Amino acid sequence: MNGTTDPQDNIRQEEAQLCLRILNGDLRAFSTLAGRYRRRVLSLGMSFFHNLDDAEDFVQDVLVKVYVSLASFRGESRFSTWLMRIAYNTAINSVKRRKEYTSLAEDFEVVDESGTPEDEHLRNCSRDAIREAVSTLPERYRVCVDLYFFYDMPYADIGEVTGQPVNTIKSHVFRAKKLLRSFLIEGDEP
Amino acid sequence: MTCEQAFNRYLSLDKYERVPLSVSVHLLFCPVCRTGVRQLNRAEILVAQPLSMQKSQEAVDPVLAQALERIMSAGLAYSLPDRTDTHVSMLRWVISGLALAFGFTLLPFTFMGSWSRDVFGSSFSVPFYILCGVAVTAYCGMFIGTNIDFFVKKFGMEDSRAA
Repeated sequence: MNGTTDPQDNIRQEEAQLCLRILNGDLRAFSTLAGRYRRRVLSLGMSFFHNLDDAEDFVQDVLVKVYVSLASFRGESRFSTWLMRIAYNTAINSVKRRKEYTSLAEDFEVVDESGTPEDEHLRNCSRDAIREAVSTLPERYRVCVDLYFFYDMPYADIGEVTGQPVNTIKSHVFRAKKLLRSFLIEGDEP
Repeated sequence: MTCEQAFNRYLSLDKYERVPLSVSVHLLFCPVCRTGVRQLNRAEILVAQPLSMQKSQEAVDPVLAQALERIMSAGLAYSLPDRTDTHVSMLRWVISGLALAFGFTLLPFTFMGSWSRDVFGSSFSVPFYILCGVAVTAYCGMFIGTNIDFFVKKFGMEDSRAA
């Protein structure tokens, strides 16, 4: 909805090359690849563990798992999707995790101060809309809405990561988008 | 198509999905919806921006460094490819095998083969065919032995062994 597929293909090819280099013993290539997604994994960790120490331990666990399992990555899905699936499963199965998944819109603030006042307004509206959308959802669907909005993942990828049906994900995201739309209209009214 | 219908169709789109023609046409003629779509699109981009793919960071990240240390200390690091790898491709094996078989088949019909047979008779033929048999058997043995993984997978020997 907000881009073309060409940059995605380029990223995919570049990441396939990085994976090949890692499998040939290049640890710097792994640092490059892991560095790209470290923040995403940390954010997911914060949503599940609710404290930075546990979240950082979680990031380490995920990175080690990703490295060890890399030989089994066939490139059928995007690397980011594969990594997020490992991260999600690690978080779900962790003994340290808190019972409730907390949406990034609710608790852990994903801060980005750059941009115009209009950007700031749009960001606030989005957070409010997502917060309201996920407030009534069961835990397993909250993460789906977050993955769509904050992690920029398409429905199929979210389904692959969480194991939830795509149509269910679609309907929850649709509701969140409708809320966002109404928040934006309210914000525009004098 | 009403504004409501157009917007609902737009909202049901996935990331990176092409906007349907009917919605595009509606947006072309409806400035209110166009503004709404622009805002929504911008909002989605902004909210995803902080977690978008990060550029490679120059500074060493301590969490990443610890993860790498764990990988190294557990001996899980992938090793560099062996430059002295003497793996011979399947094609080379087949070509060499055919050349060997051809050589043994044609040798008795060459001048040297005819002369040897005429001069030495069966004293030449019998050892020659024994040599051929031994050479071909040894070659086939080496071929199968060095490509055992291929044959196991190709003929499903794993399943029969498991059964």
